Amino acid sequence: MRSNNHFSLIGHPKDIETMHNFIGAYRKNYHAKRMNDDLLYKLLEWTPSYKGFDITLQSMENRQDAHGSLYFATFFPEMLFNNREKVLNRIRQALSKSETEKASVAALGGFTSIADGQQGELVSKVVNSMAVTNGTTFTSAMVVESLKKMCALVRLDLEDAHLAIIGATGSIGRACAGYFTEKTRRLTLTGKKIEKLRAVFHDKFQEDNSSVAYTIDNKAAVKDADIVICVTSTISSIFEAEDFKSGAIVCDVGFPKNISNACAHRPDIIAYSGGMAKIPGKIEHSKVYSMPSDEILYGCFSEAIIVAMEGCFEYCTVGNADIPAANIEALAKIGFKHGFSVPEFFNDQKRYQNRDFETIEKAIKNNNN
Amino acid sequence: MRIEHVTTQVQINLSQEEDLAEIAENAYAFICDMVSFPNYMADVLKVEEKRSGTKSIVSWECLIDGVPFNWVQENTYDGPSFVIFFELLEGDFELFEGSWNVEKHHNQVNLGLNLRYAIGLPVIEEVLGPILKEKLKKNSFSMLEDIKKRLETEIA
Repeated sequence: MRSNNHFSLIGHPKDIETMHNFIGAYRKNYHAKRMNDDLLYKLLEWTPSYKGFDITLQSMENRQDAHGSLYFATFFPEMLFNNREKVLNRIRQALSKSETEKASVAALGGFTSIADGQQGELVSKVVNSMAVTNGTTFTSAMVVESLKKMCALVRLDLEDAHLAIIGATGSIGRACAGYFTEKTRRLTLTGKKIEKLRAVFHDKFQEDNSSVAYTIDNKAAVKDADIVICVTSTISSIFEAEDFKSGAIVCDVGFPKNISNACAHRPDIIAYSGGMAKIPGKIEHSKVYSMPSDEILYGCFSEAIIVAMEGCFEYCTVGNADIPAANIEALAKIGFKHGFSVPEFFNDQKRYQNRDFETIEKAIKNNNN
Repeated sequence: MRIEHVTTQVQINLSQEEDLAEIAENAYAFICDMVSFPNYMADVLKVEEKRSGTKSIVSWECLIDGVPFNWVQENTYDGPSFVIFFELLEGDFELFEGSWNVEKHHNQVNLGLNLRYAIGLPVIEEVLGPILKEKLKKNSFSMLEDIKKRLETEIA
């Protein structure tokens, strides 16, 4: 029986540059003479998964502390292409260590949730008593809630918007598509294969539903979209600034990011890091460990902490099951109760401010005229 | 910074007819001739040396498990004691220093390599430590074995 409020967050380094920055934060003058990439890559390949640091956050509802740790599964995303089994073993190692340290719930972050091709279902078999989640429900909740907030800021009527979901056959893409069904004027869903798109959404949308379109052409899908949700698992960006229409709102949930940094320099679009949550408290050294900030955490990690605080293990998901819209709304409500919220809008390059929202509002008005 | 030590030694057993002092001198000369290491050590790709009196600056390009591992060290030669001390000037690791030595012991000559190092990867080094130590020990032993083989060929 799970009774404690101890959580585990399982991540991995994003790329070799992240590792250099991590070392540079501790080692004086490191950047003047960095370790060669091949050696660093090899050292990481030799390193078993390990615990990075401990985290304590206090619930805003009952003032109880939830304790946990961030574990690193030692692999880079590109290792999935040449040594998938090793990657899976590293994820299993991190899960086993979490269970040994008595975590009641573990969140699979980044590529740790998709490496097994089963949204964490396969790797999670290594543990017995600990709940495991890929964090889809709360990440989707943060996408939904952030878009609602953004639409209010730029005075965009969600019901009248054209929403494109890039990577719609993945767990978050499916959850968002399910949620926004009937809530937007037009929905364009993309995936790698048209047959898979049709199969995945067969039960949700009628074949003759003219408000839903499927395509494998990502750039064509976003060309006329008012709102874009990007949730692909690519290891490099797939969109450039010129791919979006003026006034577009882009919620980039990808890790690594799906959207080029160049988008930050185009004033008439907003491309923000989505699926994140503002947490009730701070996590020290977050930047060193390539987390967004001391006060902002990935939605998937936030989910494990919320589950640990509330004891609502029924919201943990692994595998490809659809997430009902009601679960997304319910977990958002639980998260808000414990002090989690939609963070400010930002990306790697900038924090969006009122004047940015005003610019987008004008661009939307121009589009409508 | 987590500092590790690796001490490796190989023995060359001599017959009664062989001159212990001469073999030890030859062994020390082989070790001093680091520039020739790439000729008979598979994982040493290139060694360059600038000698000045009892000191020299030596650049190494090696392989560890097939990946490049490079550094520049300063050697200090103590000829009478058959010891070469080295200190890291720049390289991939945060600390990399130690000594090569040749010892005469009854009817054997011992070749030794003492290494003191720190990889300088925070947190990770705690987990990686034992694995890397094993690999460096294997590499050190392999280098000493190569010197021993060359020396034995010379004696024969």
